[in-house]
Order: sequence, then structure tokens, then C-alpha cells
Amino acid sequence: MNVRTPQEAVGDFQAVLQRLRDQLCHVIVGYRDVLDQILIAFFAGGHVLIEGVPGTGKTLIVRTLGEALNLSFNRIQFTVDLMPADITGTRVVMEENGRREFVFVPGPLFAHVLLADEINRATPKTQSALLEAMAEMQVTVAGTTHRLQPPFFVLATLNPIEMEGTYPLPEAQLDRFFFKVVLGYPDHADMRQIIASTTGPTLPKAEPVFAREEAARRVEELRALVREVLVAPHLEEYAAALVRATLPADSKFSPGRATLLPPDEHINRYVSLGSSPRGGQALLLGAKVRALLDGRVHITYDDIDQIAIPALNHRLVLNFAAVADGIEPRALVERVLHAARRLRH
Amino acid sequence: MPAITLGLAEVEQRLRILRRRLNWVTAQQSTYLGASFVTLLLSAVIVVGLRASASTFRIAACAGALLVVIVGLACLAYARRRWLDLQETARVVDGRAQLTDRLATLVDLRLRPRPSRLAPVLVAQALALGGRWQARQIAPRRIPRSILMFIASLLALAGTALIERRSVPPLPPTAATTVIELSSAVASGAQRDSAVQPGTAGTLQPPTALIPAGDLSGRALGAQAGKDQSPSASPSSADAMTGSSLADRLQQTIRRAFHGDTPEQRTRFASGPGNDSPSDSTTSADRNPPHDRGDQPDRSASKKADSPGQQKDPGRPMGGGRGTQAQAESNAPQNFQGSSPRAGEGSSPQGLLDPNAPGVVAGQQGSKRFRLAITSFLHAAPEQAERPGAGAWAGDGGSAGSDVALNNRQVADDALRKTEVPPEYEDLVRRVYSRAEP
Repeated sequence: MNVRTPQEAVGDFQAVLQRLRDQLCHVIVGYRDVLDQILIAFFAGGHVLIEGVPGTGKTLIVRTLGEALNLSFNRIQFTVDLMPADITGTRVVMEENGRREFVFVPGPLFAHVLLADEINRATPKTQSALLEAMAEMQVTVAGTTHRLQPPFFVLATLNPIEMEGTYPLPEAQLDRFFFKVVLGYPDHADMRQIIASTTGPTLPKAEPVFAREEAARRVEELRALVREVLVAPHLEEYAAALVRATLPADSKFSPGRATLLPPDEHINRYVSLGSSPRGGQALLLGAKVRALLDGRVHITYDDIDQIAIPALNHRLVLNFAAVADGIEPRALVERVLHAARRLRH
Repeated sequence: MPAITLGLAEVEQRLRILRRRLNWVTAQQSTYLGASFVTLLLSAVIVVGLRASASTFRIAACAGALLVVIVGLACLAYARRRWLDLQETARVVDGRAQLTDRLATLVDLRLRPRPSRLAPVLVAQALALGGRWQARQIAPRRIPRSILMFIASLLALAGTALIERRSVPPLPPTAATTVIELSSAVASGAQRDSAVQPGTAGTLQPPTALIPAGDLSGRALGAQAGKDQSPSASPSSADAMTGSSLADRLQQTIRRAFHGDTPEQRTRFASGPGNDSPSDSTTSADRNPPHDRGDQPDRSASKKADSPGQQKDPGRPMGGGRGTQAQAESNAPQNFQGSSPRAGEGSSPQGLLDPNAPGVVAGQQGSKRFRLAITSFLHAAPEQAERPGAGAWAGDGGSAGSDVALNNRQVADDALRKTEVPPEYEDLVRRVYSRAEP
């Protein structure tokens, strides 16, 4: 489909997003906000970390998204004995025409949509194998770099229970996730609908939105369109102020320059490390997708505010005092948002 | 992209018009607010000038001048803070027209090195929503509400014309002469004292004006005290005297403007033309209205015609209405400015040296100056007025006080002589009253 005018491009983006929503909602019951956040991260070019209790449909969401986008989909079940080569691929000796030679066999990482299930059960060495792929869209095996085909979308899940024998994700890896969304239990109506729809003779199935051969190209076009969305300078300042406000004042990593927002007492008390500039990038890119979803070609304060919690809460590293006082990162981000309201005028 | 350029130019043109209007409103508001405050301040200074003593007025005038400067700076800061550039104008219009930052985003497009390909969409949206941000809707031409505050302050200023100046009883020539002689004696005593002490120059001149009782701590005594100072007085004290003189002249101007005369005029009338210094006589034609101002409307008198207990024009000698005036004054409460009310009857000698009375302030520290207010003679006014020939005090040109006898009450009133006088002043007071003996 050739899009000629910018207005048509915006309309096409809205139409694609709406069809994707419909397909996901056809299979996934409830969780509309979570689905929207996953779609936003996908079209913004980021990766998503989903934290949820078992049985809430984390794997189903990822698989359905791959099916709806008609992109290649792989799943890796992370375990404690999983090795990096198991996900990146390895070289094997193959005999061809009487000659034996090492041939690279791509691992499950080489897919458009990757589900890293229970990523915190793998060792840090294996977890770090994902770092290069998520940030650079490439893997290096035996000195040879292999490019991943865009679009590349990692959707990792975390199990908040059974923490015995797990390896919490290092901060560097957490920061590479665009969003972290929390999947809770569905409410009563959604629960009834889930039970009814998944116990019948036929299971709901998502229809692909794109044709297989053009799916990757269309996704990349839509991602490029997202980056064309206009941002006013005061909104850039607002996003930067939000990110800066998550930094504790006494941190040795944060410069002591004046910020638009005064230092928050809770941030200073409970936060060890604040958000990185990646958090600001996530704020603006996510806001741009939201603006396109609304048919706008420019972002607003509300777009940024809606994105702030999933974009920033996993980037705050809390200290022991926060754990002792039961402080959640989400509450701290909400405090920052509340304080930032005075910047709107 | 000419379409974008044209669209952006149109958007910017409309924003510039809005910016001019919004900034004009800001300028009006700051002007009206500042003018309102200054007018209210002026009203307060006028009220203080009419009702308060010279020292209070001096403080009020200085504070008022300081506040005017502060208000001026505050108005400038207010205007500066609310002054809009194009980007801020776009944000204001976005907020008022609910354009969700469209205009602010568009204005920023000029500064971007590479315009987005979605920019035409935004331009089209902004122009399509042009009905929401028309100039007459966002910044209609109307007078800001702050003008109401300014009008109210003007009314308050006009209302000061209705405020009655604090009344001071008329001074008969006898009383004036007594006080003048007293002041002269004090001055000569001080002059002698200063001549005795080395390093002090006795440059004291006899006061040419009666010091109003309420102003004893003000200009006259301040000036007298300043004259008592040696030439080696510090410059700061000289500056203070200059400021004091300015404040006093301002207060006199206010009183003259609102009530037609000043305490000095009354003093001159009371003491006669012979007591005017040459310099005063040169300006008396300008500053002092003619004595018989029968052609001028007496606002105070006409306003207070129905209040018998109060004084009519205090600086004006009474003509045919003296009997009524005398009767009214005999019934009037003792409210002499700056003096102890108890001293007026002469029956309570303690009141003369009442330390709480502002007019009876004896210097507790310095022995060079001392002030003594005698107000008991003021009650001689009705009786003097009833005596035939007493009206000659105003213009007979003679040495007032030398040929006018004291009334019986004053003669009988020896309260002063029985009053305890500080030892260091005893000789001086004795000398003063020995001269005042008939």
C-alpha cells in the first residue's frame, strides 16, 4: 500500500493500529491498557518486559501479536541451565561436498518477535546475551557479527513469585526495555469471558493484519512515521524535567545543576539510581505513538503523562529504605508527575 | 514546500496580532494597577497630612515615596513577567482555544533544521481550527478590569477632600504674643547657653511663627533645634533637616490645598504683620491669602455650621459671629492639638508637664533644648473676643501683646509657677515669667 500524503499516512497508521487492537482483543480478554502499551512500545521500536503471575496470558499475548502482525515469532523458555549460544545460535560442523566446515546456525533470537519467557530464571550470562541483540539488533558469534532482521521485538516475561533460584535482571538490561507492564489477575467479568472462550470447541485465533511478504516493510514504515511526529520545545523540556526529577539530589552521578522541578523528598530518600536518558527517549517516542493513535501529528502533555509510568517505573533503582517502607516505583513516578503539573502553565 | 511556508506565514501573522493585543492588555493592566496603588498611596499621604502631626507626616511621606518606587519596580516586573514572545503567545492561545499545543509546535517548526513531513498536516489542522483562535475571541479589544481599581482609587483620592483637618483653636494675639515672647526668651537663653559653651555658635533666631501645638515635635522645633546646632553639625543631620523641610512644605501645601490656610498663616495673623520677617513678607502675598477673605467660600464653616461644638475656620478671625463662636468654644471639649487637655483649664498644673502629651516634651537628655507648650491661654480667646477693641489684634500693627492685658483666669492661673520644673530649667523659666509679669 503506497501512502502518498502525510494525512493518508496518519490515517493508515490509525487504521492499522485499530485492526491490531481488534485482533488482539479478539483473542485476549481484557487487558486493553496492557495491549495498548505493548503496541505503543512495538511501533516505537522498543522492547517490553511483562511482569505477571502465571496463567494470566503473557505468552498468549506475545504469540497473538506475532500472528496478527504476520511476523516470525520465536519463544525461548529461560531456565537456569540455558546458555547464550542456545539463544544466539552457534557454529556447527557441517559436511558439504566432502568438506567439513563450521556453519552458523541462527538461534531463536533470529525472529521478528521474540518471547523470552521467565527471563529472570536464566543466569546473568545468558541474560546478557540479549543485551547486544536488544540494543544493537545484532549478535556476535565467534567473532562474526550477524544482523537481525527488522523489526525486532523482544517481549520478556517475569514471574514475580517463586523467586528462589532466580536471577534478578541487571539494571543495564532493565534499562533496555522500553516499557515494563504489570499483568494482574482479570476482574470477574473478564475471568468469566476467558473461561468461556478458551474452553469451547474452537479457540479464538488472530487474523494477520499484513501479508507475510510485506509485513516487515509495513511495520518499518509505520515506525518511521512515528518519528516524524512533531514535538514542541516546551514538551521536550517537560519530558527532560520528568526524567531529571527521578534522580536523587545527592547522587554522585547526577550533576547538581538547577532543574525545572525541585528535588522531591521521597526521591532523595528512596531512590538510588534514577532514570537514564533512555527513559526520556521512551517518553517522547511513546507519546508520539499515542498522538498518532489519536490522529494527531503532535504530542501533548497528556501523551507524556500517560507514558510516564510504564516508561520510568522500571528505571528507578530503589534502596533498602524503600523496600523497608514498602515504596513502589510507580508511586514515586506518580509523585513526580504530580509535581510536574505546575510546569504545564 | 511553499504550502507549508504559506501556511506557517499565515499562522505566524495571526499570532503576531494576538501577541500585540495580549501585550497591550498586559501593559494596560500593569499601568492601571500601578496607578491605582500610587493614587491610594497619595490619598493616604493626604489624609496623614491633614490629620496627623508633622513627624507622622514626614514618616508617611518618606514611606510613601519608597512605596511608589517599589510599586513602579513591581509593575515593571509584572509586565516583564507577562510579556509574551511568539512562542509564549502560541502557548497562551493553545490554552485558551484548546488547540492542544498545535500552535506552539508550529511556531517551533521554523527553528527545526529539517521540517517533518507531517508538518503540513499540522498547519492544515491549525488553519482549519482558525475559528477557535480568532483575535477577537482570544484577545478582544476591551478595557481591562483593573481600570475599576484605578477608578476606585481615584474616588478615594477625591474623598480626601471631605476629610476635615484636625481642628486647632484660633490664637488670640495675647496668647500668640505670650508664646512668642516665651519662645524668644527660650531662644535667647539657649543662645546665651551656647555662647557660654565653647564650640557652639549661638545662631538662634527668634521664631517668627507660632509653633502649632501639635507640631511641636515637628518642623518648628526641628528647625529651631537645627539652628541650635553648631556649624559643625554633621551633614546627615543637615540632610535630615532638608528632608524634614520638604516634608513640612508638602504638608503645608496639602493643608493649604485642601483647607485654604496653614498653621503658619494663623500664626502670622495672630502675631500681626510686625512679626513677619522680610523674607516672609515677600512671599506672604503668594502664600498667604488676604486676611479678609470674605469673598472666599469657607468650606469648613459651611460644612460644620450645624455642629455647635466644633470650631469653624480656625485660622480666620471671627466677625459678627463671635458671640456664637465664643459660646461654642466655651462648650467645646478640650482638644487642643498636642497639649494635655487637662492643662487647658489651668486648674490642673500637672497637665502642663504631662510627659505623655506630645506638645509638652521636655528634653530628658540634653539641657540645650527644651520645649514647653502652654495652652491654658487658649481659653482666653472667647473672653478676648467679647472685649471691645480686642479685634485690633489682627491688624493694628502695634506690638501685639505689649498692650493687651491678660484675662482674669490667666492672671489667676499661677499653675506654671507652682509646677515643678527641673532644676536645670528653673532659672530659665523664672526668667521667662518674670518678663511676662504685667
